[in-house]
Amino acid sequence: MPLENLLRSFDGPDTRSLVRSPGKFGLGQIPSAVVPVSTTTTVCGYCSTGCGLNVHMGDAGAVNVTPDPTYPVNLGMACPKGWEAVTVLDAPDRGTVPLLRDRATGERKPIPWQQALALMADKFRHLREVEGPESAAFLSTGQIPTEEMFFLGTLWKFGLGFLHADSNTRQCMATAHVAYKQSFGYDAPPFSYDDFEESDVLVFVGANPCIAHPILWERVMRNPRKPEIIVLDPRRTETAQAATHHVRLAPKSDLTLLYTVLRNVIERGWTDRSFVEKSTTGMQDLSTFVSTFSDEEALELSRLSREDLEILVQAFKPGRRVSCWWTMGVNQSHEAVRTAQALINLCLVTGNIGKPGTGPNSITGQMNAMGSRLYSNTSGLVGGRDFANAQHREEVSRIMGVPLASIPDRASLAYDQILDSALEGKIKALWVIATNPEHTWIGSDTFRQVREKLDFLVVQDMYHSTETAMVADLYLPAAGWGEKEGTQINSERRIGVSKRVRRPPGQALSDFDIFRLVAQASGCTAMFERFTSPEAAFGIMRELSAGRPHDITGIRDYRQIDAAGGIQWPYPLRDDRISMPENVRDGVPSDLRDQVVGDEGHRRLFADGKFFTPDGKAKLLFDPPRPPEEMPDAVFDLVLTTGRGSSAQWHTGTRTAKSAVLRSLSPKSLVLEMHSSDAAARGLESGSQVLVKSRRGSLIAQLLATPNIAPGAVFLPMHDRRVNILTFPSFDPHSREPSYKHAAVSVHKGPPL
Amino acid sequence: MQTGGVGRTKADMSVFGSALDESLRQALERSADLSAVERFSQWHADSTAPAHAGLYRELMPASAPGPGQQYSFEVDLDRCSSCKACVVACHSLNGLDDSESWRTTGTLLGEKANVTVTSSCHHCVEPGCATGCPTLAYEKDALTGIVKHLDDQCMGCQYCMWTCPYDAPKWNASMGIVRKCDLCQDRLKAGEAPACVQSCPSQAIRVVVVDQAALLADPTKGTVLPGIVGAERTMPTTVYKGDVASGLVAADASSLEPEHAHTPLAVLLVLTQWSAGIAFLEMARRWIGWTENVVGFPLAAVLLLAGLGLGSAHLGRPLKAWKAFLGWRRSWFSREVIAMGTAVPFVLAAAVPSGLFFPKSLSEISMLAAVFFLTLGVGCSAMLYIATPRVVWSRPATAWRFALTAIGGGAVVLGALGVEGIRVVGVVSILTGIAKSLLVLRDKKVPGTAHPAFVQQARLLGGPLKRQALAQLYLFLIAFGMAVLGTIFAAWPFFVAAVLFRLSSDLVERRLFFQACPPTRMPGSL
Repeated sequence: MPLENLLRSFDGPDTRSLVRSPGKFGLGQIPSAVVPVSTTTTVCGYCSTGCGLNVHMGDAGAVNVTPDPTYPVNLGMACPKGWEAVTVLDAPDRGTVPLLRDRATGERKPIPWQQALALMADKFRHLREVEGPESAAFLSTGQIPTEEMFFLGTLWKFGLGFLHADSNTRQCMATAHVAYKQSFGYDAPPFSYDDFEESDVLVFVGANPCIAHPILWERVMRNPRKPEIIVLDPRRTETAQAATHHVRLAPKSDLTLLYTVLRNVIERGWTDRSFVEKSTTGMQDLSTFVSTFSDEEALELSRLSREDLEILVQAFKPGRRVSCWWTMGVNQSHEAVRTAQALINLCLVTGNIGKPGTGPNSITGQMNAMGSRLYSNTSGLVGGRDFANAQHREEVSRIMGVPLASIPDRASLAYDQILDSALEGKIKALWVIATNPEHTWIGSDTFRQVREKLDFLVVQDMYHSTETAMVADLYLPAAGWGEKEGTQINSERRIGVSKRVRRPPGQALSDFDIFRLVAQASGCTAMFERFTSPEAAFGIMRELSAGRPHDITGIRDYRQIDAAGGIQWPYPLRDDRISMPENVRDGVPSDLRDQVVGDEGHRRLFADGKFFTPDGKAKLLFDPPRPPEEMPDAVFDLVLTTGRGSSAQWHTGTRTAKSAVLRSLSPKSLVLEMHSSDAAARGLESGSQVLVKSRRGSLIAQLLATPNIAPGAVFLPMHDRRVNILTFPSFDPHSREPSYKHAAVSVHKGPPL
Repeated sequence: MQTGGVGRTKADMSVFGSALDESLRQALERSADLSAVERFSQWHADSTAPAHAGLYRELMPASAPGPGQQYSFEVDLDRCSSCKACVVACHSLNGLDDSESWRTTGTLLGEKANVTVTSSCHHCVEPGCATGCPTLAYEKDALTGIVKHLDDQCMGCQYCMWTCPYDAPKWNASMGIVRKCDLCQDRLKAGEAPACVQSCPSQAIRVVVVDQAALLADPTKGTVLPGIVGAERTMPTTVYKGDVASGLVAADASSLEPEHAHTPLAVLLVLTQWSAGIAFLEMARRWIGWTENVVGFPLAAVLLLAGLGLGSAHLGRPLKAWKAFLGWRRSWFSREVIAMGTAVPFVLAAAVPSGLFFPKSLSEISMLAAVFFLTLGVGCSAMLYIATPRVVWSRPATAWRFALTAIGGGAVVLGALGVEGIRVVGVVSILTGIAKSLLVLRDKKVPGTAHPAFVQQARLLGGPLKRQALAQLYLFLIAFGMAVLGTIFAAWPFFVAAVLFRLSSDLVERRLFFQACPPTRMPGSL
């Protein structure tokens, strides 16, 4: 039909722009414009789930990614951020040259790397010599590979001779770290993701994996045991809705509630006596302590029904596999460590540990917070050691070949203490790496005040446009995830390899290379001569792990980790492991991965009931609950809690906001969630603009009146810079983690739209 | 999706000399070297079979559709965890632009629970997009039932975006055409799952085979979700499973975000309607026996051509506008184009003073034909909007609004030309002005019990569009005052002023007609 063809174009350039072709490499059909010449696997660089991604390589590097169908973590799935992992590398605000800011005019001018490095070296040398080891600090991140954290931490302390350093993991995982360390004798999350699929009862506390860790929820959905899912959260989150029971407790009533649950469990004789006897200490004291917690007081404080409490208690009835999972709702609290330990205690006394589908399990936040906990050399000496332990210092000195005297005998100040010290004028310089405290730090404009006080602020980041980079004296352009290589450790202790699949823009360098150059410019070349590459640094990390609970001496190199689909620690050197085939270059069929790592594809800890404490027993730790420091009153009558906005957003959005499609999945405006009854009482209409005030400042948001949040509480997503004007700076005394989940605010009618 | 890294230039690497310089040079070289990945395994080196196949096998239909059947999506709302991976996978695996994705997600807010709704094209049994399309750029596949958009046929008029009740066709501004979900038909043919199905971590989306006859008999057997309109028109096939309580409201239901103003369309409508009004009133005057005004029809011709010309700025691909007549069997857009296009030669002929070049009878016939086709064109314009599923447009008031614009505009223009019977055309302009402003004002104040679309329109007009709505009112009042003065004093200069203000007022009114009309679509987000 020629006429038909003339009148109707069934084909042409527009049609062909969408043609799909077989992508080879097991990819199925993909757009013809981006058919790869090869593929390679890598591990995602956003959250601690640690998903395997298949990178589609064009001639000039990665052109696309798809989730790796054989990776044992994500089983072929990814959340929106993972799908868009490569897109955000192309943003126009990527740093390409070092920038020096004129403090008088605020103008930033490009300078050569040599000048930037010389400036840094001079500043830090001068400070170290004149002002001493406590006059500068770095604030690092959970967003870079372990090798880079390891290099930075050892360079800073052993090489440059400074004492203080911390990272944004303080805002995220410090609580879990301290809780595990105190209870188990080592920072050792006991679980494997398989436990999601093997539990009969899953208790999520202050966690919203549907949004924050979608791929972990995938694992819950695969659970064939028809599990009971209980969610403790002041908000009826996506996860709470998907649960079999939502316990909508009042903000920060969790510790009292958990102690009360434990008292009920003990009273009903549901403890695992032989396990408690053999593997724990402190049961007698704990029993006495919780016996004073009455149901009535707990129900009044938490504003729950007796049925809610009963469901929680029944969850721990013997005969079922119970796992408890927590994230920021627990970690970011004024009594966070004891709350995490209340969950640890519940699992310990009911014997829910070391067996399939059990465990007090911290779902980590950042992609490499776990690496930071072991190797960042900030609050702990490298390799899960203690600065105060002379034997530990001696080990590190010997293995790394650094003078014993260069290793400090005390830990760094914590994040908040570093900022306080800067406000007092003691810390005069800060080096900020891949984090954005100007946005994220809690309460008012603390970081801005710090900035005013500092003599020297260096920011090293992928983007020159972050709020913190904009106020830096010196900005260093860093390569991002995908433009460098290294390993990272996910929530289930799985070490994965992240590869260089893109060229960084302009003169941006990997953080590892920047640290090498800073070492060289500072005259520390000799001390770090073994740090020739991330993989060489991994070799040192491996040596440092020998005999430690996280022993990874059985890992030969990056290729082995990659071929195995990641390797969980511990992985000590043993003769009986099947060695990896030598010809992996030609491809290891994915079904051979199990053979590569032996029969230990998924492992959980403590199956033998032995912990890492000196006596091998877990400690049952507790403290009386305390009210939050800022309680609602007549003027500020509501409790503000904060959290993740959507699955398409990450932290301060420096990366995720660079993807148009991720932006389209983010809320269009800042939305305040408030209970419908609270909105009605204030005459506030859903959808209208409201003024949210705290003692520290105010902001305008759009109101969403909803029954899905506890009355008396309001919620704001954390991705808007203004939100931390409102939050209240209080800290857990053990972990020094800030409490982003409890501030007193008031809400009023705002200006019309 | 981009190709390749930003890369570095040679200049970046040529500025160093000493030991540090050498290290720096090495570091820059190292980071530009992508060969490091080659030491790792190349998985599935020789495999053309999709490695994901095992993950989605059970989400695919056992067999292809038989006679009277078609493919459709099935969404299990209870399994959806709101992660939105489907949206990004559609974007990524189909190679779409920037934020383009054919799948969207939204939220239904409820007392007990919120429900995330993922949706793309529903591959309707009677697709609204195809009914509206003037260029026949839609094809419903006879075997699979997939509603396919012919991208090379599209002229970018975006009318399908109004006639689809679900916002499935997506505008690609950089290409100037609409594109939409084709259920990844090439993947289906090869036994692969659509992008969204492959990517859902919760296995909440699958492809199923449905019976078209069952939907024809009872459209509500298909896509049933609160707030969805148009199922009875188009018979959407997506099956939503799960616990969807009544009383759920789309999260964006009360969103106060104005729609696009479509200025070229506003200009097209107002100018063509004024043209029709001038022609009609001038013909009426001549029939009454008043002297012929030789400027009336030329002005009508200028306005008609200007309207059609400026209106075509709305098209993403104006060079393909010649195809616009193809859909005349079902598209009011095609009919409008045909009627207006046919009117052009007759209006031009009627613009020649009667008896100057042609015999008087031919002028008479031209005038009659011009008025007939212009009136038909205005009628088709009205039907174009009335035929959409948009509640605010889909009522007789739209036809009244257009007709009153035509007569009112024509009357002030003739007044400004100082025609014989100026007082009569003045009274016509006053009366039509009052009638139209009542229509306009009625939209601003509606009872809370009215259809939500009218309530929403009133909120928009009283909210973010308030200033424009007030401007429209003031412009109209000035024009009205001038028309009254012109009528009292039988003085054309007042009408000249009335023309300027009335035209401005009408253009603002027509922009508001677009901006304040709540669209029909699947639930959106805040």
